[in-house]
Amino acid sequence: MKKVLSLILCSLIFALVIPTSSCKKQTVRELNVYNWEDYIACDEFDMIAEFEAWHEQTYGEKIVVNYSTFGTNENMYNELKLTQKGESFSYDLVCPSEYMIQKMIIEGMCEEFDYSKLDNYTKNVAPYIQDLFVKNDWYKYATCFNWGTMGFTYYPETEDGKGVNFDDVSSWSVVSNPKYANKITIKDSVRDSYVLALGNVNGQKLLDLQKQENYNPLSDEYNKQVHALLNDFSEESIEKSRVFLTETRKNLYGFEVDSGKQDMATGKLWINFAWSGDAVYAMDLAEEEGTYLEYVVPNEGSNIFFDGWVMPKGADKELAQRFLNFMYEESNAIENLDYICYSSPIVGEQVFEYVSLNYGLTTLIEVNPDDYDDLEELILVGDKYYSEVSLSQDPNFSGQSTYSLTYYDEESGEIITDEPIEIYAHSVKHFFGEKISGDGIIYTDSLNRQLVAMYPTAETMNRCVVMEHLETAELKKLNNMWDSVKVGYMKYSTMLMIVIAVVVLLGIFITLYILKKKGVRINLPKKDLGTLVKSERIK
Amino acid sequence: MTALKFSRKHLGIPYALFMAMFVVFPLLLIIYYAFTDPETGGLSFINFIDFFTSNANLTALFMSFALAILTTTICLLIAYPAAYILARTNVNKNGVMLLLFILPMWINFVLRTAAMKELLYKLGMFSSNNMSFINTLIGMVYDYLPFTILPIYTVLEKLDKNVLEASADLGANGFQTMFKVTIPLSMPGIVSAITMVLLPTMTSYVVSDTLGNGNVTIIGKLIENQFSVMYNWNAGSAIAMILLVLIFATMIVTGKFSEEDSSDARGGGLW
Repeated sequence: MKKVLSLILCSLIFALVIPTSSCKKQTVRELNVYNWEDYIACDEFDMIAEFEAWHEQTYGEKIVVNYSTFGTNENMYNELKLTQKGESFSYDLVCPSEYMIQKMIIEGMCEEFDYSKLDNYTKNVAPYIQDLFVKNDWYKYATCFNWGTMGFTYYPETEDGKGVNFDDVSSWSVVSNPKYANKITIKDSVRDSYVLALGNVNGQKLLDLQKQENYNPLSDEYNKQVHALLNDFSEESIEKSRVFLTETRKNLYGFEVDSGKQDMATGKLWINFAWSGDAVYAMDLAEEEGTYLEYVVPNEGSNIFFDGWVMPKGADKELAQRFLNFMYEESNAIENLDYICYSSPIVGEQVFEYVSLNYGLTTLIEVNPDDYDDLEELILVGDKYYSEVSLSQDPNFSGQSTYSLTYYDEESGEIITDEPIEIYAHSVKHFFGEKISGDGIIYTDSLNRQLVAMYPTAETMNRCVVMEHLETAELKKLNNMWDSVKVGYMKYSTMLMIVIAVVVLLGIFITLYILKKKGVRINLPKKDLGTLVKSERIK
Repeated sequence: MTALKFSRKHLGIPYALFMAMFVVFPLLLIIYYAFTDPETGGLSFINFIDFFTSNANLTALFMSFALAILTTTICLLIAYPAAYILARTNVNKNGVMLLLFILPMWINFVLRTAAMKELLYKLGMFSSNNMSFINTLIGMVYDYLPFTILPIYTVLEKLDKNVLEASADLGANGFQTMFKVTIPLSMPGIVSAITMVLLPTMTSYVVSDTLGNGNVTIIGKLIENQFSVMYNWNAGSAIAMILLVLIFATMIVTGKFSEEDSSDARGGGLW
């Protein structure tokens, strides 16, 4: 009976430990989405709730979206592998980065997309991104969600000699420039920092490409050459990178993956090796403090990265594709863009208008209120109505290089006209393509701020390449290189001496200890006995 | 019906089960992973060979040990007088002082470290990357000081005052009492303080990442790398095992020295 009691206790404990999930009713269809943290609109416009409502309305079927988030690609991959049941995984839709997508495709973990069900994707995604996915053979299994480049966020040079010179920072070699010692951070991640190392190790070769006779910054040929040089995993280059990084880290402030954004905004750093999305975030953050940061992609060439949706094996394909199609709808994509700051691959008139109003230069023009349904959008000064428009829409603006902007000053309640400023035309036509009707020009006062970070020029995009997925052996080599950079080098002889010293010291202590112990146990009673005997004799 | 008798032993069953599920089983898993080849899945020593042939790993191990021993020593040097004052004098009459020392433990570890970073920055300790090691050391000492004070305090608190009086009666001055009586009797507290500080400082890379700006890499970071970047659970487990063995060795050595003295003082020690 003792056993019975322990059995009862056991089962009681198990009942407590194992959650009551087994009694869940399986009547509602579920979509399990696994995404990066903070990567989907969830403020006033809640993408998930909107989709659930939309789905019920369109298909007359109530569904539930289970939305969970991850912090790194590797955690996501581990989680997928851990919850794998046979061939299928417990998520219907996940959003890893490019190298993880490649790994998952190679390992056969993904379901194929049916593009006839994703008409919004083919309709709204930039031709450049679609081509990139077709060119690399990923389009079958993956669709792009966000993309960006890698470069430097920097604090531009001021008159009193602070800040970073533009020519210096447009080259990878800036990281070893003693002028900026202790003011630079790079990424604490092998893949990202290896590009930086290669940009230096192969820097001359990369620049020489631009001196070739038939050099054309927009040619596929040039892009391929850059691709080869920035995907150089030969042992020689890895060793050179190790030497370079070991030498350079003395000049750095440190390594980070997340704190760089804040540190740039507060002025602790001058140069931060960053993803363009983070750069935009840092610029927005710094603007609130009254500092103006800039972002540049080095001349030699850099990385282009993206996060994309894949359907792991065993996914509910129908539901997953409906969700994607919903997200690739232009107005929904804008809501998302507004929330996360990373550049979306979605293009179209509405996106163009959103971008030019938010990141281009804007001015106020007088309008006729009768043309507008919603007067709240307009600004009323005296008895005149004004509307905010981007320069490209301003009928009075003709594209000259200096222009006075007009804006509404809330404090005085007046329309103010600024001093004339120099303006630049930035074309995004190469990215938006035929999806917009106009010439695709957005005007800006600086070619190195949010707008250009989000939508780089055609030349910049052509010198950015995707870093390929690495085989385990190569990754191991790279990781060993990185460990040795991060940890530093200690001579084997030094190690041996330390070990010997410790062993000798320990030996001495232990011998002393044993001697002492023996002394206590054996000598003491003898002595006592001796004195006893002596004293007896005296008596 | 002798059967339904409820013996006190049965109360231990939940704990035994808990231990089996969350301590013994994971440990066995670590051992299993450490001794299997990541590619073939067969029994092999490849993970250990890899570890001991890589200079970076060994350097990290030495550096971590140096950091851990330095942290522990500094912690003890600060904590012992503090605990002594708290336990033996009147400053801690209402327990307020002790509370103040322990209070930081109730605030999130990561938050405290981030706050420390801001403080050190304001003090100009981040002016150059040579300071990274010192900053990390300060952070470690700050974070683990309560764990050192508490066990020593508990032992000193329970120390029988008569023993000290006896020592004085027999002609020992304050200095001699301290070194011949108080410290030997508080050895269990010191040993458990070492236990609670030595291993965590070798692995808590949150501190070194935040305060060292990524310039200080300790062995815990390497374990994390193996798990999250390399997907190599086998190598990660092997490093964890090596660490475990080293810590055990350290514990046995420290434990041995204090063994004979510890039999006198009861309680206080963690083991």
